[in-house]
Amino acid sequence: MIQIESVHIEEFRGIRDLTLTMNRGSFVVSGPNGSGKSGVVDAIQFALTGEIGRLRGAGTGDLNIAEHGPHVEKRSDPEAASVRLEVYIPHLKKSATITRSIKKCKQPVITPNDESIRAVFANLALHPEVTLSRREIIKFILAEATQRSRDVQTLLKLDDIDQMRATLKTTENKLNSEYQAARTQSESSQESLKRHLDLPSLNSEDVLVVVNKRRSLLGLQTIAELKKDTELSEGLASGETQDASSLTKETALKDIKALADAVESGSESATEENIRGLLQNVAKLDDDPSLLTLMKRNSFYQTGLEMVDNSNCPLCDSDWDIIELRAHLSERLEKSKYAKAARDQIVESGQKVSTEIIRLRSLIDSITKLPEVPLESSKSLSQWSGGLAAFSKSLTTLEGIVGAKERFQAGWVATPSSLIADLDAIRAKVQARPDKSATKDASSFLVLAQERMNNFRTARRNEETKKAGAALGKVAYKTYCDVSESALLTLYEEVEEEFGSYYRLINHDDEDDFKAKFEATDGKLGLLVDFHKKGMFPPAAYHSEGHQDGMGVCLYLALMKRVLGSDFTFAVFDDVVMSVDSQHRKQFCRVLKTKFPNTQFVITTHDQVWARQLRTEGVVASKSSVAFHTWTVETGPVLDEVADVWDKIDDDLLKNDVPAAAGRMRRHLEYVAADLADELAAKVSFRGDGGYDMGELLSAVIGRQGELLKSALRAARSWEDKVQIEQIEGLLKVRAEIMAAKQGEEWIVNKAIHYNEWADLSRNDFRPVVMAFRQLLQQFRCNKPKCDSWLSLIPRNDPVDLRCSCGSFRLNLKEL
Amino acid sequence: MATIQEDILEEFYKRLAEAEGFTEEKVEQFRAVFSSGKKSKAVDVIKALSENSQETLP
Repeated sequence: MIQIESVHIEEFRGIRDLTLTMNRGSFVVSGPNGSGKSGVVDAIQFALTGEIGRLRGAGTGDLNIAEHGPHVEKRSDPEAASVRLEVYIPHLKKSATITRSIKKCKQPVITPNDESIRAVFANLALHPEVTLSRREIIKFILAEATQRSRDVQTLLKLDDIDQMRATLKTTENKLNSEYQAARTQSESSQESLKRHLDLPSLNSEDVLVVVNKRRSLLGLQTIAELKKDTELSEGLASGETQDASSLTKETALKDIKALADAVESGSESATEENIRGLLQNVAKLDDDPSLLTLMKRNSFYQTGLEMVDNSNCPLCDSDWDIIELRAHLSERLEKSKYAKAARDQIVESGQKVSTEIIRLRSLIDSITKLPEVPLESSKSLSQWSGGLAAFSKSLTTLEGIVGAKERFQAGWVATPSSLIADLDAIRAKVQARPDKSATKDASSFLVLAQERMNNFRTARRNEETKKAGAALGKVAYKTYCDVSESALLTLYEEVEEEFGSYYRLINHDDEDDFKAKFEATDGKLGLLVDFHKKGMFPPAAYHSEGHQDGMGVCLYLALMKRVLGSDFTFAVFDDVVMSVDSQHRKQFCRVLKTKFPNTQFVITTHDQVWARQLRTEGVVASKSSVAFHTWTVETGPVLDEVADVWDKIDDDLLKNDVPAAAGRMRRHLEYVAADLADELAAKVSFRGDGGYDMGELLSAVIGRQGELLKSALRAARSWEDKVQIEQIEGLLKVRAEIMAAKQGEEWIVNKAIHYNEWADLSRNDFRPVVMAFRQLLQQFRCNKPKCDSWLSLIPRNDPVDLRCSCGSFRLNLKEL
Repeated sequence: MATIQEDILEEFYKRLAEAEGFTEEKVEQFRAVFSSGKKSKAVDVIKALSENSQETLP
């Protein structure tokens, strides 16, 4: 992950030209609604991912980056719209720059362009969740279980796990189907051999008895042991092994009977139950034709999900958002679940019929080989067998099975009308065969036994191979499910513990026993939370919206910490902190500061108090912020520079531009006066509209400072703390000098005086004014450059200390 | 930091290696299928699991 050194934005969204220096630390962008804060968020997101979240999703159909990414004045010049980030990559200890323009939004310019840095940016492009908007935080909390499961899986990049599980399940099913077909083939060939040998079961002893009886008759050596390569007809002259099927009357009669029995009842009855279910589901399709579309699409979505493995479409190479597309396909799959169940039943029935077709064709083929079969009958049997093969092939697709509804209703075996008569005729001819000599008959018997034994052995070998494959497929699927479920269970336990600990830290005053529990079942992820020890409930059951929002942020932080670990070095919160209710903001700052000390948070907020609090609590350094004053189409955001305002005023004066310097100082004083009044709890007359006068605020702040210094002096004297007494007396002396100098320059805070009136002043006239106020404000802040924070009261109610955020300035206010 | 998927895959291969019927060679074939960088297709997995058996029957 990265940390941002600086952001430079040009002609992008509502921003014309803006540079923000963040120095790898947390940074706050504050300003009223519509002042352009979100433009900064969009810019960072765009630079890292090439996307702008605000232009995607529901209700944004007419929006796109190419047309609506550039500033409205530059919409015909997408090349002018660009964002450059200077970043530091902690784990590589390298600095880098990424520049992305709207025109070439998929081709950022990265420097240095080395592989390790490109890999970092490529990884970041897969983590759009580093930018969290207010509308997104609640989705983890209020979503229904299935959606939450998806959202959490997307955030944790777990969708690959489901994908792999699906692949292994498909593998298991296919291998099992292959095994079932091989087993049927094997059983058919076994039946065929048993019929010939006239044995109810195949065991070595019985087989050898039957075979050796014929071999003895022929004067051949008997076989002592049946081995895998035993030739039952070994020793017969080569001419005797020809045309075996024509030589066995008894077996031929049995084969004819087996086919007649199968046609009469066997094959149809074996599939009767499946066909009934299949026809019921097909009837549903007749009632609701859209179900078939949904069934087809289910398969399409599943295939699509497997194909989404790159950032481009494999057909047309168009770019797509891989995360969004996967989420979309998963959602469609969920919606078509009902259709999938019906589809699975139909497909299973089709497979069952295919299995029976294998048996039936095996019987037909035995008959076709008999020499007594007349040409017409042979043709009819071959057509029937071929038709069954084609029918079986059609049953490999949903459409094929559904399209065969009428055949299933009429009887799928589709026995040729002439079959019974044909079989009778063939049987009569076989029976009419003249009896051969016992030796001739024995010879024929052995030849056919060997042929059928060979078929059986081949089929059994194939069956064993397929069986082993199916067993491996089953083990692989089960092992993966066990491993992934165990890992996810551990993961969820870690996340719920982490999530609970953040929430408890924020709400320690009223929910110190808070805990959360995920319930992961069958693609769903339920979330229950404790409510004041009254039980575990869904988050929305009893908690206020503010608390739910707080949970959203805490869960997000817990998930990010788990998914990125020490790589969670950067996140953007777009007006997210607003969701934390005002009583718990201080504690929220503590979570960010103590639990994520190495994470750079870029935070936008329209609440000035929040912005101040983030600085006061040390989440952001005092110079790491920018306040947008207002916004216009022509200028973009107008800034209240907090950090380097005095340098800019000096620049204005160097250019002899007194109105600019005065305007800048006035805005700055307006801004800091409110800040200081809040930090020091200065007393001003309450105004319902919050429109406090800057002069009134400053006066209250200065008065309050005097009171606090006097309190601190009294306390120091009571403790006989000579060091502090000396420090405070020094401060009071400087304060008196500053007050005297400021006395003559207070007109600056008089809002009745317009900026234009300052145009007549020279820069030398204005410098003393600047100096007076600069020194005045310096009295209220830590003089350590790294801290530079405003002094504030700790705690705010009944304060004990007046101190800065780093603690190097600290005055005790409590007397002995 | 290894991703959760990577952790799961490593544990998966480890358990497969201990499972009956999974030779070292087969586990390596699995590893190759799932680490090719592309989405794994069922057909590739089937291929890895469907080597001809050397067993014969009496």
